[in-house]
Amino acid sequence: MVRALRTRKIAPYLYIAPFLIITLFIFGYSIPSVFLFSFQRIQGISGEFIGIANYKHVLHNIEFQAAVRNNLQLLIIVPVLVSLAIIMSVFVFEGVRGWKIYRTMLFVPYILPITVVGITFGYIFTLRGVLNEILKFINPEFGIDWLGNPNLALWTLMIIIIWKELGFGIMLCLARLMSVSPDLYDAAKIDGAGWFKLLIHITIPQLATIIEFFTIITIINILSWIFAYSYTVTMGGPGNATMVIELFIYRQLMKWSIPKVGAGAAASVMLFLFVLLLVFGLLKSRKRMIYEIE
Amino acid sequence: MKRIAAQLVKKRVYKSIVHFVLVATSLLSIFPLLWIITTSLKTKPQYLANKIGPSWPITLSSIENALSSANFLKWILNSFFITGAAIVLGTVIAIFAAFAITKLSFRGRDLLLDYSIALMAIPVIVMITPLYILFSRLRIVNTYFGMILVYSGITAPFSAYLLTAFFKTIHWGIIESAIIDGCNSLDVLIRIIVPISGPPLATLLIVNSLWIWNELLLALIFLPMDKTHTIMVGLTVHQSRYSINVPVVVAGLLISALPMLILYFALQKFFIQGLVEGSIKG
Repeated sequence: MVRALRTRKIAPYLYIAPFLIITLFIFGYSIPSVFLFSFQRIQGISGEFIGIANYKHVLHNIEFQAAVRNNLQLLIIVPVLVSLAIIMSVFVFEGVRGWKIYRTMLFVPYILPITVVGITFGYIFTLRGVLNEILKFINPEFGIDWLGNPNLALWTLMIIIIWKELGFGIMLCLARLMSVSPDLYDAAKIDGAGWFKLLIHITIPQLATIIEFFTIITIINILSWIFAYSYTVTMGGPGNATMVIELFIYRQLMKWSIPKVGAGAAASVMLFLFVLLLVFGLLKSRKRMIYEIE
Repeated sequence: MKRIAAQLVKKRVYKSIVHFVLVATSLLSIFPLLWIITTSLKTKPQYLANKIGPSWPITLSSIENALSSANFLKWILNSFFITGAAIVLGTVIAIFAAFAITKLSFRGRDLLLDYSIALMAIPVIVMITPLYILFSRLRIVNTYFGMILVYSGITAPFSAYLLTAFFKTIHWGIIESAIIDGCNSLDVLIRIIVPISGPPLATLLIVNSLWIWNELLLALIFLPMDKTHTIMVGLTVHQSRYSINVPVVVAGLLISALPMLILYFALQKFFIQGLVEGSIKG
């Protein structure tokens, strides 16, 4: 039951034409093609079908295996990030004097380009870098190679990602908290609830849908939106210590004189299907959230 | 009396803890930015002597150095140009599409909206392989045109979706009176709808330009030549070659982050609101 403007019959199609053209060009070509390529060996223009050989090749590839391991390890970020976001949003929500200034500062990391953040932390975490210089005040012998040590590099990367993404989570939770009726809190306080009880019984349940939303978004981010971190901080190294799936796909495409299209496509498809599952979960979560807001 | 005093002390201690945590976290949050600023104002020897805090006297030499190095200014201009063009193109396309979806009737209208939403879910990494092949065959790799096309196409679904949500809230009454006054569909769009779309358009501007300006992966692939680099690509490539003079590299970082930082501090509330809401809706 929606009213519509009366126009020449062709008019609506003219309006949507540019959108259709550009999205079909960018997306409409890409998605079917990436599936297609994953079953082919591409040489120049032509491509012969080779079944699932690309998938086998990729799954046996050491770099890819390291990448998957690393992406999975990076998922540890999710509970840490969500917890920190909740805690910090509660602190900001307290509304102490100057809370807006704190809020402004806490969001700064999110605004900075990942490239800038990556290169900067590269300098901070390097062996003769800022962090070690600071720590030298405590112990002059100090010299941890945060990024050069294969065992530490991924953990260091984790810290960088958490640092950058936390601000967003805080703002999400804060936005939700601000729409909670203060009566809920007042009633509980009259009943004698202390700080901790308030947190567990009111704050967190109110944040439930936001937590779900933020969790899924973060998982999707860690699997498919952290290319720039890995590329600018350590380029996947040392060795494959910080190799991630995105970087693997990128290398298949760009690091060889003849792009390894089949392998890159196979890896892309696998990642895509996995993310798709998560996105379905996200859409369900979003529907719940929007329902709640309205 | 004693109990009230005890409660007051408790409250004070509590507030102090809150302040402490907030101050500590805020400092951690802005320390890297402060470090970037202080380092940009050092010379190389000053930096080697003191890597942590500010040095005196401050100098603009590193910043000058960065601005005049290689193609730095060209990269910044490239970024401005590409971001601007992609925003304009993507937004216009999205406005037309959203208008049609919400105010016109045609076959497949709901399908189009679902299609648009589905596209938003696709991670860019999945598309780089086929897109690179396509663009290579069409010979538009390493062209501004190709890059702008990619960015416009990728941001279009999100823009269309946000605008659709907003246009739906526009009362039919306003449109009705315009029709009575003899407007055709294009008039309605340009004279009525767009002028009142300030808020969502501002949100789109902020969210999309932040994303495009900061973007690295696509820019690395589609603009590989030095002269056509965006600023982010230039910095990354430049850094691995000239990582010896830290203050100069960091000065470059500062300059590249400046446009977005200025936008942020000027429009704080819009920024936070826009990005948060933008991603919920996206």
